[in-house]
Amino acid sequence: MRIVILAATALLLGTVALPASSAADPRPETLTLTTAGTPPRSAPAGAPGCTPADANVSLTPSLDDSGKDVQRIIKRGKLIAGIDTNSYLWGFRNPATGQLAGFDIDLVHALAKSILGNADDVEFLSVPTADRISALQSGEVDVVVRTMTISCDREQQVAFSSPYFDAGQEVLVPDSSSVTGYNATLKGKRVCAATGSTAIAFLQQKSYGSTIVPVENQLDCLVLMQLGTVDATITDNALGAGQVAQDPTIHLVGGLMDSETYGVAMKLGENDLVRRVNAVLDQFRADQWDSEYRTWLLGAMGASSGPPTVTYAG
Amino acid sequence: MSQGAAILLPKESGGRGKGAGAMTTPGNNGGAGFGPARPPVQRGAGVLAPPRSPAPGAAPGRRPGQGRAPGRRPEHAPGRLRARLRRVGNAPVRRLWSLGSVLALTAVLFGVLAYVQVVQRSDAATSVVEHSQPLSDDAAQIFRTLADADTTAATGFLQAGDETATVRNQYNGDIRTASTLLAQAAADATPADPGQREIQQLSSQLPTYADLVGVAGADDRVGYPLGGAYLRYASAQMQNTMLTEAQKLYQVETGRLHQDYSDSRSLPWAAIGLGLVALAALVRAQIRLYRATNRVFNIGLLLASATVVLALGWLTTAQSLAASDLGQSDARGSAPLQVLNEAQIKALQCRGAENLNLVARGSTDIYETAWDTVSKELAGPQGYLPTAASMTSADSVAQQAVTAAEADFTTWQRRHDTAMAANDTGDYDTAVSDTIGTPGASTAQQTTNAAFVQLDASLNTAIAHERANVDQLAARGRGDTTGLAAGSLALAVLAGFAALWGINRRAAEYR
Repeated sequence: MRIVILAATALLLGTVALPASSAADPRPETLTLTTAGTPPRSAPAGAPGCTPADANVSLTPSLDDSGKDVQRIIKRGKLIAGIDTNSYLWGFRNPATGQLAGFDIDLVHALAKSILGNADDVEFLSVPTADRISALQSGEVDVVVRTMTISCDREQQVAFSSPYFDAGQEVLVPDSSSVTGYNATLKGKRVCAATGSTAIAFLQQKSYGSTIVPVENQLDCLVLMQLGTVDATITDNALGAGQVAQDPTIHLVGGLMDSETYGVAMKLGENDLVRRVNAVLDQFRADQWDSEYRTWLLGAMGASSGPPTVTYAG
Repeated sequence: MSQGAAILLPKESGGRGKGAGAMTTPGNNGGAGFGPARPPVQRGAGVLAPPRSPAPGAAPGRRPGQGRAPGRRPEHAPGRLRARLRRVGNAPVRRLWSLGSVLALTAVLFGVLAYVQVVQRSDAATSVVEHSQPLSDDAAQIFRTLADADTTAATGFLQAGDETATVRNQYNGDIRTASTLLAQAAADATPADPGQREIQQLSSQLPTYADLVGVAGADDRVGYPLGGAYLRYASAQMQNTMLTEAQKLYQVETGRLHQDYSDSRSLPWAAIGLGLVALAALVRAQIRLYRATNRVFNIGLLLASATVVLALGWLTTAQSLAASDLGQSDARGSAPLQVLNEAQIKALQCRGAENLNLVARGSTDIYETAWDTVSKELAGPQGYLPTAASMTSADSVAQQAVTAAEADFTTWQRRHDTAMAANDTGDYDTAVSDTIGTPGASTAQQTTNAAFVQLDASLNTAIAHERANVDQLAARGRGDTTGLAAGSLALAVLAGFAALWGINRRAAEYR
């Protein structure tokens, strides 16, 4: 049901956003994002001529709070943020304290502090991967901060902030594995990836003779890898780092398979909020990013070249 | 039959008119038998008449030799007649004895068949009480403990570092009970048992499941989200594989229970049929004898008939009563018991879905969907609780317990909605404490778990009551046929002897 509604909405949005292309291709690629088992094409078919570099361009930052969407949040007194609670280092619940923690969580607190004056004026809402876009479209959440990759494809459905993290797909294997990366050493191996992820799209395009084992959540891959049910996992390196942090006997191999960036997602058309968030991100990248990286990611990912460079337009 | 009857009639009866010979002329029945073509009764009546009691209906004025078989010349010389009698006179006696044997054999066969069929039915009834009902209960219990282990593991996981001893003990107890029951079921089952495969699989999967839950807890304690992933993996093994097998085991055992019930309730038609045949043969023999001798009663055959009637009556009445009592045991005990078992299982699945939804921490909505589906199966319009309520409408004790269970579910649903509303607005801690309570707080918390425990207790009350119903009615059903197998065999053997005795008396008249 949810998929049907989503598909209908996506279709509608796609048609509205792409009057020129709708005649030629009435079925937007965005459909595949929410359909379990059908991964997105690795070559995103967003707006005509959209490149990953174009997708990273966001609206010029502004600290103006008078826009209706920023006002909605201020009047409510709470920022409603869609997050993940199962991504170690990014967004997870510490069982000892019961508190949410991670890089993404800290970013949400920074947003709340800037917009509302109090870092704790946040309502965290755990959103499944497949529901990220619909949660924004229905207005259930104001922002999604959930290791969400900016893509031309998704920009048809949601608005993205400027990028706040550089990432990419990478292969994750146990230390004893003979697999050296996304290459011929995968032959005959069982490779795990989350349903609907970029990793699955890679594997379906070229599997190197491996067997794909799809799961609901990338973390399920670690369970299967520990139980010996799969031989390798493909996920993005940031989430992979979270897995390595939970099991030191596995490691990332072969380098990044592609280049991705994470952004804060908002409802399409809420431009005042996008500008406001970009203003917070500018500050975050300048003042807070390095210490956050050190706190959460340095141990698992090693030294960083710093936050992504950003481009604004409009 | 007509062959057997035919031998009643001596082919040669000339010399039989020892005393009454004056009255009646030795006639000839010509071995015509009792077939449709047989001449009127009166014709041979005098011939067969024993010396002491001349047949009253003997046709007067019949001339000697009348009705004699074609080609047989009248014998007048007493010496030759006697000699001839001695020569052929054994034939009627043999025929009589053949008839007697057939009657006796039919009666005894009836007895043996009745014995076998009654024993089969009482074995099936015994199996209901001592074998298939307990096995079905055990299978339900295996399912329950497994589902409870899964639910409890999730509770312990949600309590994390604060896991209470109660929860830990309950989980450990569930695993122990499940493995004991499985070992017992494996010991009770023969290799040919249909549930054998499930029992073996469950026995090997249970330790693996327990290991996964252990790993989940260990990962969770060091703060890794991986713990939750392990628990969901363990739970998926339980829900998708193990509980499916346990359900199948329960269905197999319940299928056997139904088979035993229907075996024990079927009337022994073969025995009843053969009994009627024996009775008909006896009646027919007596009619023929009456027609031949004009004597109304042959005490032996009469006794035999009465005995067969008695055995038949007992057999039919007792088995019908037993069928009715066992039917009641099935309808008023076993059937509601199965619905209540299913209800308890569904309640456990609801409780598990509720906990796992919190363990999943919003990473999936499959558990909330599972709650919606399973709670409808439990308490929806066609659900197990309303079904149990309508099935127990005639039984106030069970009805009361089921009504209480329905009220408990209403409370549970309300609390569940409150907890989910908290979770949906991001208040995870409130959702958890609404569901499993706060450690150390008073036990009388208004949690969904408390409502579930209440519901479970109400269902247990109803289950215990129905269980007693099953046993009581099944025991009554078994009691209805006490002594029936041996009794009907003894009566039938008696009938056989009586028939032989009756025929013997008749045959003795030829000497």
